This record gives sequence, structure tokens and C-alpha cells, in this order.
Amino acid sequence: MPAPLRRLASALAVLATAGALVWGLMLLSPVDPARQILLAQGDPAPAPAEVDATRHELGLDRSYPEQYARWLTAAVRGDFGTSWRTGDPVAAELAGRLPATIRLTLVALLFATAVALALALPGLERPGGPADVFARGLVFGGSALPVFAVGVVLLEFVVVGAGIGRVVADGTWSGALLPALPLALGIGAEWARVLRGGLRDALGAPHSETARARGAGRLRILALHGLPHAAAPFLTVAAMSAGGLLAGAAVVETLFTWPGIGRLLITSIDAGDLPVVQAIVLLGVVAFLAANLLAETLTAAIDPRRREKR
Amino acid sequence: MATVLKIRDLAVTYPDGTQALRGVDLDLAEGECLALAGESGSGKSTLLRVLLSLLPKGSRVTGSAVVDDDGTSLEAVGADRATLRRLRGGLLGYVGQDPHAAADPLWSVGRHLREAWRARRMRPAKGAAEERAEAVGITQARARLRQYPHQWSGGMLQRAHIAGAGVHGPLVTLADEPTSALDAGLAATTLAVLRADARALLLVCHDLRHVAAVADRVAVLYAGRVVETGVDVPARPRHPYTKALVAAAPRPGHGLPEELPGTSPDLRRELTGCAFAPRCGLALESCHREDPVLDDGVACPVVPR
Repeated sequence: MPAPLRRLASALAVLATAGALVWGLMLLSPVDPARQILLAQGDPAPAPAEVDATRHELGLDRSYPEQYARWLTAAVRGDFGTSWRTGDPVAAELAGRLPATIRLTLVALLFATAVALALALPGLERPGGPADVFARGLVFGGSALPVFAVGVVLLEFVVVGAGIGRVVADGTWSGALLPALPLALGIGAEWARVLRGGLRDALGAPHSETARARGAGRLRILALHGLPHAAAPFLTVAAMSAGGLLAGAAVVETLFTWPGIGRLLITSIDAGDLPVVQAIVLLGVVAFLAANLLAETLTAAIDPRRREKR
Repeated sequence: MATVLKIRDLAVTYPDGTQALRGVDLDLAEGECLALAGESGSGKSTLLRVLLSLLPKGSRVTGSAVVDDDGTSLEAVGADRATLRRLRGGLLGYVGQDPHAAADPLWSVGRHLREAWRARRMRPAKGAAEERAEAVGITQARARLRQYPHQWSGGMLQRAHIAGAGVHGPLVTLADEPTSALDAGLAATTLAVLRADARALLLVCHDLRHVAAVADRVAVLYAGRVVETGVDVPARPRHPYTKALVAAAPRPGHGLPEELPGTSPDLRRELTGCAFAPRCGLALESCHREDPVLDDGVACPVVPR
């Protein structure tokens, strides 16, 4: 099987496993979904006949394998059922929240890349020199700071204290700048470490020396030899941190009252709104797998040695 | 023949205090191949790196190394950016040790070869890279240059490096043990290709036998000094160190080679007298006090002239 297909197949296998686990949550829940939906749709005391009818409608009276198959086919089409909290379709709830989270994530990724470059590049000229030691100290500090701590400090001093930004964020691009900062700092510091290591290896390699001996300038060697070599480990780590980004988003969105998926997740967990939680967890898995798939594909595109092996 | 490279009293001290070169004088004439021999740590590679300003930051260099191009003299020691631009890849070509390590694995061989122009902000003429490749014996260049280094053999890839080093017709080609990563049969042909392609060749080589076939002259380095120089060094060594070096080379049917007694001196300390004296069976009492100067091609008072 060609490598790209193999990667896709393994991603689908992971997704199917995650799907089974997520669906299994329903079995563990003490709540009766049919009753819960009727309550959410405004019926304060559903009659037993009504509950039975809804249960039949939802297919909850069928065998577990059958239920799972129905749930899975619906999920693939984007139908995650009805929210137990609002009585609205889960897909609609998600769709309303997704743009805000995508904005926050993109801004955070942009910040993180800037942080990584800013911390990795200055020390290259003289490893072990003052600039390098300073940057490494920042990397250490940055990766040690918890997201919520940075978020609280930002809220307290920048938003409330200095009056910059808003306490209740609106989910727009400009509103994303501040909440994205705590998300980006830790990830950016982590990325900087990997980027610095990759660049140092590449720039110290004999092929970079050959380039210098041929008269290539520093910037040329950095751009054409250094960065492409550092890209492979960097992309791998960046994709791995996509998972952490989702967890961080839950914290930051709650803190900044950002109208995104992360806050919806916390609200839904609090309310025991299982269908929404299921959908968000699966969405996270899909995002994580997509990021890794993209990273692997890009890495293979950069490195000819990876293209043909196996 | 005109002298194209003139090295005078060249000394290099690395940031850790190691004195890699301690007062080296060398001349290289146009069309000549001068081989630098000696053990690792003798300063051979340092000499090439001084010329290209590739020493680590914080290294101290004194003395002079002048590249003489048709009346224009360029000082390589402490060269400014403009001079460096003329030297690196222009007047000085460079061929490294391990051809696979010296090629970026992410680049096709052709891109690597064309980089010899682009690094100097030029654009290779159409077919120029292929032409260079064919000139050093790479056949079917058009198709082969599209391949990547890991698809090439070491010998052929080293030819591609030789092609790249010679793109701008350098006055002096510097080769740092260009055959140490190749097997013996390939080494000879690769050296021959290098010799044929270079206008003047400064060849660092630890194996004196390879040197004999291509070099017009050999300079033997020990502990950062030239201890012997001459035309016939590999066949008729005169300095006790060179003799030991030749005797240390294995020859079939002659049993185990004689190993050099002792170890190389610690170059981070100030040396008094001849650096080889502690390991030398012929050393006089004065050898430990006075550093011998190069006289009639040998820096040793014991050798009969």
C-alpha cells in the first residue's frame, strides 16, 4: 500500500476506535436519553408513553450493535443527535461555536510560530552566548507557565487593570488577540526548543559548511538548508500540540468567556449534556488526526528519503 | 610558475587554547598539487579552514595567507566580507571529506551543483551544470542530476562536489581528505579527477600512499608545524616523524606495521623544543630545548644534509 494511503487508513482506524469509546459513554450514563430530550424540549413531566415513543424513535430499544451502527452512520453525516440541555440539534450548536474557536486557534498558532522563531533564531549565531542563554531561559519559563495562570494574570492586569481588551469577548478576530496569548506562550516555547535543536543540527552539518565555503550568505543557508531540515521535527511536535491546544482552549475560552467550542464543552459537561460532549470529543480527535496527517504528508514532501522508503 | 598561494608564519589558536597551527610557511605554485600530510590533530584541516574563514568564532589567527590572482593580492587572514565573497567559491574551491555528509539530503544533486552559481548570486546558464558534471566524468548527467544524494554512490557524488567546487574556475582548489570516505579503488580515480580539474590543488590527506600518485610536493605537519617538505617524501622520508608515519602504514607481507611510540603533544600547553622530541628515538638533548627550523626541507638537526 502506498504510504499516503497507509497513513490515511491508520488515521481512520484510530478514529473508529475513538468513536466506539465515545459512543460507549452513553452506556455508562445513568440518564435516560429519551426522557432527557423531552425535558429539554420543554415538557416538564413527560408521560411514560411519550418517553417510550421517543425511545423507539431514537432507536434506543434496539440491540447495542445496531444502536452503535446507527449512531456511527449519523455521526459520519455530521448528525450527533439532540442536545439534552437545549433540545436543539448538536450539529447546529457546534456550527454556531466553531468559527470563534477556529479564529482563536489560528491566532494562537500564528503567535506560537512567532514566539518559536523569536526564541530560536537569536541564539543561533553564537550558541551558549548571552542571546542564546537568555532565549533558553525564556523557553524554560514559557513552557513551565500554566495556561490558566497566564490567562488570569492577563485578565486581571491587562483587561481589568489597564482597560485593554474586553472582559466578555465577542469571538471576533480582534477580540482573539488577548485570549490567544496564554494559549500561544507555552506551545511557542515548546516549539522553540525543537526548532532551535533542528536548526543547530542543520547549520552545524557538513553540508552547511560546504555552502559557506561556496560563498552562500548566512540568511541563504538559514532559509534554504536550516529551516527545511528543522521543519520535520518541528511539524511533528506542532501536530502533537494540536491536542494540547484543544485542552488549553477549554480553559482560555472559559476564562475569557469566549463563545467557542471549548467553553461549550465545559458547559455541556457541567449540564451532563452527553451528545454535545461526544461530538466535541470526536471533533477534537478528528482535528488531532488531521493535524498529524498533514504534518506527515508535509514531512514526506520535504524529505526525498522518506518518500520512497517502504 | 607563478606562486598563487603564499602562507607566512601562520598561527591559529582555537577558543579552547589549542594551538592548531604554530608558524607555518607554505607556497603553492600555479598548476601544482601540494599534499598536506600528518595525523589527525596535526593542523591540516585547520589550514584549509583559515583560508576560507571557516574557523569557529573566537579563534585567534596571526600571520598571513595571500592568494595572488594575476597581480591582485587577497589576504585571507582577517578577510572582510568583500574579500570573502571573492575567495569563497570564487578564487578558492572547496571539496569536503564525506561526499554524502557534504550534500544536503533534501536537495537533488543538480540543485546542489547549481547552488555553486546561486550561492554567489549568479544564474547558471542553461545546461551549464550538466556540462560541468560531464567534465568530471558523470555520464547521463541530465537524468542523474535529478536524483538525490542517497541515490548516488560516494565516488560519483564526490565528483559532483568536485564539479561544484570548480564552477568558477578557482585559482586554488582546497580538498580536505576527499577520499577518506571512499574505498581504495575509487580513491585513486577520484583524486585523478580532482587533480585534472584543479588549477592548483592543496590536498589534505592522511594517507601518504595516496598522496604519492598525484602530489608534486608533500608537506608533513606535526603538532601544527611543517616538519618536512619535498618532492619525494613518501618514498624517501627523512624526518624521524615522517619515517615513523611511513613505517606505520600497513604493507602486505611485511607483518604488522610499527606503531608510533607515545602520543601527540597537548597543544593547549606552551611547547618548548621540538614537539616530536618526546616520541623521537634520535632526539638529542638540545631537541628538548630548541625548536628546529625548516632547513633544506627538514626541520630536524639530526637529519644529515
